[in-house]
Amino acid sequence: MSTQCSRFASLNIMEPALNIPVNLAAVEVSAWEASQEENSPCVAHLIAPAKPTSTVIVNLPEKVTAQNARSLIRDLRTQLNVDQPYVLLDLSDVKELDSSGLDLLLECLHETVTRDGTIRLRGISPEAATVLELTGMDQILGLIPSPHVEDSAPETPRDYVAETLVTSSRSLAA
Amino acid sequence: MHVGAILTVPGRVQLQHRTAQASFNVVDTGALGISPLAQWDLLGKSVLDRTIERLQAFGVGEIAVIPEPANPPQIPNTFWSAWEAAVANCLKVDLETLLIIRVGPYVELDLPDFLRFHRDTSSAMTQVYDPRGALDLVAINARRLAREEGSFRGRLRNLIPEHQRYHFTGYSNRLSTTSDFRRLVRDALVGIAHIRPIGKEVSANVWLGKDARLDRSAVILPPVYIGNYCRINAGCVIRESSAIEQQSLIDCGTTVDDSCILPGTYIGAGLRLCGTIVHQETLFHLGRNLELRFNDHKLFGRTFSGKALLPRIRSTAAAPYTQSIMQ
Repeated sequence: MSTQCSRFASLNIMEPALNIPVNLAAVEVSAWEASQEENSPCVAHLIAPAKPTSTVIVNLPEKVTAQNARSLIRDLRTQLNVDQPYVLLDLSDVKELDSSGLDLLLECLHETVTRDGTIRLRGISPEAATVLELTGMDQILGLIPSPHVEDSAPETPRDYVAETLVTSSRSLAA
Repeated sequence: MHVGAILTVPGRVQLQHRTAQASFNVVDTGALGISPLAQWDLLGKSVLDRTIERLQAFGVGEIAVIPEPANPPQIPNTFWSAWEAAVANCLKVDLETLLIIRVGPYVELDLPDFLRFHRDTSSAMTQVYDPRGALDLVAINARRLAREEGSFRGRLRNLIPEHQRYHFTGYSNRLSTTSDFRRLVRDALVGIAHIRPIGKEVSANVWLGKDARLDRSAVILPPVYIGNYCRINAGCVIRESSAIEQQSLIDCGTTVDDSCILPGTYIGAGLRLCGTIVHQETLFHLGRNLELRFNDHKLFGRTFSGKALLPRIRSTAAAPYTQSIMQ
């Protein structure tokens, strides 16, 4: 997605109690505003101009366990409080993931789906991929191996639903 | 023929299946570290236990087991002093042959043929070679070793130039990686390796250990091994040469596919294990060559034996009582 038509907001939150850095980078694309600009080369022109679309990129920390899952869910809820969010979960840094971390992913999925959005994974570490495979979560969440997936965000809101339902067996096999 | 054996084993020695007739000593050298692959249960019994049993069945009288340090480059003096003492102890008896075995690889050696070769060639030292090279399995002329002077380590070094090679073409597995271990289990279950599972063959290629309990809805597709006191809960699927070792518990709806579950392991509900080895909280993913440690007992953990469970039950039972007093 072109930076010309996007407003970038990055939040670096430090957990005071646990001292775990949480980097939530939220990229908000105001497609409606972009569509008002003439001769703009960005892909947002193709998005239905009536509804604004937001892409939220979430980089999860090295540990997503019972220790920090609750605070991460709280932060995620704040980030996902937009209509039709296109959520990209980046698990490339994740080394430790337990059932509370999986709850976080499910919560994220739930929040996104209730807002008529979509959620996808990009940049997944072998450790996270193993846990997702073991628990069958890879079937629920679509995995995107490419780190530059935000460049190929779906063009219409209708595509989001279809992509959410795509299983990730081919991604893991690759 | 009077034969003795000295077995060195990497890591702390955990012998689980001592028999009443056993006449071997475990020399403690203080070696620590996780138990090596040769000590992992393999269809009910470790490679170390099986090696000792085979030596005893052959009539090897003196057997000493010495734990090796976990990090070989820094072998401490305690190991060598224990080794020297073990050799001296063996040579007190009038041995004809002394076997020195490093229990790492699994080798289906024809021991009588090997000893016959060693005797016929009249060599001071005979070492076993497989197609991949030398194995840490040596027969030594014990009388010659006793006659020499100096430390036993030095005497052994002096015999090396005279050593003969015994070429072995049978089944061997180096057991150097977790994938090797998994391959050995698979080979044993399909009959390539001659390892007898500890349990009863209840149907073709399905072995069940003592008091193993399977739910009616569990699906077992042979070849499969389920060890003593295991519990397989409702809706589980066990298949593809999987082995569930003793006192393990597989919770509802979990699929165990081409995997080994080592003793005392709890596997949570609804999981899909494929190409893995799980030892309590630790999971080895063979495809990714990855070791993961879980601190989450909903996924993986350890089961408790009755003895270990008792204090937990007591503390749980005591908790409400304490609460009521406080109120």
